[in-house]
Amino acid sequence: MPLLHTDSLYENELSRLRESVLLMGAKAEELVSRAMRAFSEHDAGAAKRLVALDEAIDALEVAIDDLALLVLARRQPVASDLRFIAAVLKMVTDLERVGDLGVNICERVAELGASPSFPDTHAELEQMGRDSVAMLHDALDAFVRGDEALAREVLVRDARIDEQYARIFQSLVARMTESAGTVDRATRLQSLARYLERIADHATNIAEMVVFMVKGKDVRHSQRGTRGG
Amino acid sequence: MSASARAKVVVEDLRAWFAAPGRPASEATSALSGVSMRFAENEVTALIGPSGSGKSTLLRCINRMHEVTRGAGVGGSVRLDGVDVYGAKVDPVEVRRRIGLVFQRPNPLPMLSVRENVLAGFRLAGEPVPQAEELVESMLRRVALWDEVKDRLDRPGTSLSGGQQQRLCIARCLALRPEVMLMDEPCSALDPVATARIEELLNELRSKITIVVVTHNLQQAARVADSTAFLHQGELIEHEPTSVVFTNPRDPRTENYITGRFGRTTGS
Repeated sequence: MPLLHTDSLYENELSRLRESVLLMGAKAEELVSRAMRAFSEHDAGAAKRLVALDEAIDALEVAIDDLALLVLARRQPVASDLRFIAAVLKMVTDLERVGDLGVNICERVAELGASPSFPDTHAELEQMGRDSVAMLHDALDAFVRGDEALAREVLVRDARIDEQYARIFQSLVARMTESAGTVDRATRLQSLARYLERIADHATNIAEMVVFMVKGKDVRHSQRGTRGG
Repeated sequence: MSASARAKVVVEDLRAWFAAPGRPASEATSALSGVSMRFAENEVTALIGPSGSGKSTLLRCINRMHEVTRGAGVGGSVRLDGVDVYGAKVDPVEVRRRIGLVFQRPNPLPMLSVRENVLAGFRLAGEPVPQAEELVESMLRRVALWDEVKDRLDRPGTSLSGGQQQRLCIARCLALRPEVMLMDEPCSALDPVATARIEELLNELRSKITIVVVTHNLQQAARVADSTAFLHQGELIEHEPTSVVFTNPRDPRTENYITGRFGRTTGS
């Protein structure tokens, strides 16, 4: 059975941090999921509705930074506690960026409006959205459970997102080459794919921090394909 | 200790105990049970652990101060530059000269002036001190005390502030030119400013002398030590570079101690 800190106030501070990061992560995940639903449903008004969610994410970033700094100043954490705080401080930056990218998705959706779609690309983007959100979800799950194996699995999945992005990008380039009239729509869809690819990168960053938090091992910038093992 | 550093002091299977007066050693209370470790030359090693873990006993075994306590006994070996300090032909007084000890509470010798406190090691041994004035000045400069006391060298050592007294005690220790300096919670009675001065001094001394410091202040160990050893119930649990101990200790007992987990469980 894991031991708790003898100082229960300290234990509570760390619990509050953990819960706040989870809440922030859940909101970021919800924002991207709803943004992708807006894409599927050609819902041009989603951006306005999701602004409040993004603001809540931003506010959580500030609150978590404040609490983390307070714990650093008050407790001078070491070992696993220090790695936890370091991980939290980095993760909130990633989660805040995920929120921004979710808003960016909504903005592109609004610009796309109800203009004719490219069904194949549309389906691929939806799949990429589901995969990116799943990576984010699992990275956060690995964080709360301290699950190194799950974090490493998330790291491996980033390669698949990169492949999806490359495929979508190329297919949209081909469409634009065929017909100049598709440029407006295709470039927006390319942006959308890039946002999803970036969200997966942020999920990867979070998973890397989970490995560091659990094992004290820095797997950032490792060779792709090896850092998952 | 770092992989490249030469070991100045090597402790092997060190056992220490305290027996009540008149009672056999078999009924003694064990303070150290088979500690083996190496202290790197010209590095600072911190000994951490809860009260009763054997830190101070280990320190006092290294310069043969443990045996001074009635009923205390030692087994195993402590080698200084390869020579067992418990060897039959070794003079314990000479050992204590080569391995100085600074205590928790500043203890300038009462009735002696600042000057005489610096020279006390020689005086007590009945040895003449050539160029005593130069030695006093250089030692007080070495502990960054000269500018503060140069105009009151004849005042009692006990008239100085707590932090100044502790630096005076370090000067007294250094005057005998020890090769190893043992420090038993040297800052526990000092305020943060005085503590910072002692830590700065340790940083300056570290390249010239081997230092072992016992401390309950984990941040101090993290700040000043090249390597840190965790003792628990008379056993050495872990001895690693300080950067490892305070970011990713290998043993869960070390982890629990330095993160402040002393027994409450999650119940899951």
